Amino acid sequence: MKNTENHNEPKLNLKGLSEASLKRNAFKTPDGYFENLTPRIMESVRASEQPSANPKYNWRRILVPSFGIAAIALTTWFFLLPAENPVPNFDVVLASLSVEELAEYTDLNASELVSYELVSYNELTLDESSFSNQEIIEYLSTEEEIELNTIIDEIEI
Amino acid sequence: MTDDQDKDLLKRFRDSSSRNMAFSELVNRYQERLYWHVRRIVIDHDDADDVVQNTFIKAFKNLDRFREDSQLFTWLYRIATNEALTFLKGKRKNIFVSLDDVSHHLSSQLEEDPGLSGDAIQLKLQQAILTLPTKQRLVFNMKYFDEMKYEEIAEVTGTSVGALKASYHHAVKKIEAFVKQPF
Repeated sequence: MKNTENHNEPKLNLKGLSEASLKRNAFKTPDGYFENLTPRIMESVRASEQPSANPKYNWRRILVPSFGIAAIALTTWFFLLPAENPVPNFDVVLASLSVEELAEYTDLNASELVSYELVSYNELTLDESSFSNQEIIEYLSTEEEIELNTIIDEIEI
Repeated sequence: MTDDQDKDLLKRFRDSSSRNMAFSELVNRYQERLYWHVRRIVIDHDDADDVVQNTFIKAFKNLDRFREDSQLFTWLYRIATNEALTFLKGKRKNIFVSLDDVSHHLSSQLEEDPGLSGDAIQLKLQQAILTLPTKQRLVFNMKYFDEMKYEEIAEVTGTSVGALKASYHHAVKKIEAFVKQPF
């Protein structure tokens, strides 16, 4: 691979010393170095191909990300946990109200509350005297299969 | 771009049955040239030995990907140069100076190196080379000692031929000026 390029390039000129003497190798190597170099390099190449015989588990590399993932999951769960349902269950609210409160709120009388099935008949603790006979007759007459005797009994005719 | 012998080596390397034998031949063919190239960069023999071994390990792992756009030896030179410079950067960390200032460290190492021949002018020349900036030093070594063509050096360094010529010119002038200084 001799240089065949143009000869205009600068030549190193040191005190008239010949190029050959300047290019003489200044460095030394241990005896027989190059004879043994190929087998040593091939040994290194083979060693680099071998997977590590005793791969030590780097627990830190496993635990640190695990803690990180756990922390993220915990934080997400904490912030995204559904808050107590702001819309109360209708049946629960209904059960918590007294018949009077319900009647006042809905502007319905007791018989209307029963007929709309907002309260059951048994829940009515209102003073029956507060109902007129006409109201009782109207209520009972809306119920099917109520015999006339029942109506008579209710209004204590 | 690769010569016939290299092409044959590469062909056998790609065959798993002859892979190791082919690589062993490749090492045998290029080990000495690469060693001297690396030795001129890192100066110390043991360091050069380590760098050359790493160079061939990397070459073995990447040879399948060598596309033959360049010559095999310039590809190997590129790996060796990168490995040597990486080694020097590691050394820089230990002595807390810039990469070019590593040359002062190497220069003092040069004087103590039992592996250097006792020729005074050789020592002076190597010290002069070590005063050059890293890239100029690489260019000078490849041009002057390895007698590589500018086109080949361009493949190794990724620098234009024009820039390499200018770099070599400056290097020669600096070395002459340094050597003219009294011993």
